[in-house]
Amino acid sequence: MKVVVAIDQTDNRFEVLNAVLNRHWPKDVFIKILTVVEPFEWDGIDKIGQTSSELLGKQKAHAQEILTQARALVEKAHPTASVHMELRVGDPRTEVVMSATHWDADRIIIGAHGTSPNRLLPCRIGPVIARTATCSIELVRLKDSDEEACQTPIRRQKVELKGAV
Amino acid sequence: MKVLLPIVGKDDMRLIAGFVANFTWPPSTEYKIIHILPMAVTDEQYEQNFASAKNMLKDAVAQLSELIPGPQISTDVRSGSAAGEIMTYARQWQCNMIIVGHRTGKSIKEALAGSVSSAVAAEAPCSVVVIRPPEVLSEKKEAASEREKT
Repeated sequence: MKVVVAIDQTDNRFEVLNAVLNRHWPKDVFIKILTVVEPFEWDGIDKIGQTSSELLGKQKAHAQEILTQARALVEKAHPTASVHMELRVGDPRTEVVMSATHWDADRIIIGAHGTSPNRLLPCRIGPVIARTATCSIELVRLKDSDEEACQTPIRRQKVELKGAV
Repeated sequence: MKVLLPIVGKDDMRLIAGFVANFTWPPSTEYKIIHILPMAVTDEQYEQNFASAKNMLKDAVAQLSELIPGPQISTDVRSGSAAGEIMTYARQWQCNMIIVGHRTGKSIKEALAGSVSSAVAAEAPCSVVVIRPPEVLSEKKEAASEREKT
């Protein structure tokens, strides 16, 4: 069985990893931990004293560190599992699906922020992958998503009021 | 742990049961198999649909019990919009996970059925597993390789 565990570079990754660590997997499971670095494209990037390639290099180094840490955690929890890691650059919505397709994965495990009517710009990477994936998918609902969704309109309201004055 | 298993047709249970049987779940795991009936025009139609749903759920329980010894399985029938009812049920029952089959095809009816899993994946209050049947997987893989070529 081949499982792709897609994590981002935020603290949300721990919730996704916990879902993997706390599960009983078959002995011959292959787990690939994947993270996708999104290049930061902005014309004015040179003004802040860094080229986009330098910034991408830093992002990739940070992501690599996260992958190594995640791999160690999974290997410790599931010593019989064969754990791999992969770092991709691009749009997570397509890169995760492409990685799973190339590897012929049986399942993708990915975190998903909840959506609620008061959240105008939800991060919908998980559901998009759920539609396009070439294998079964598990969306791990992130616990803090509801709190964040509740805070978003309040912040937006303050900004609007400021602008009106 | 509470696991919600919404089923639309008989094939759904085969898919879901295969997935559930592959994993070791905590001993206290509760499973709830639900079927959402479409809105019936007449009472007679509703009763017919309800009776066939009950039979389907009975078979589903038998299928799951064969694969996992001694689980706590209960069933329920609701009527209304499939995605909406699944999410309402998930909130009321406070489940930890929803396992749903992904159905898609060329006809409009099948395409709409596929949108249920997409809606649940996007809006559910808990973790969601979307299971794709093998025939959908091969179609999707072909489409993905074509997309990559272009």
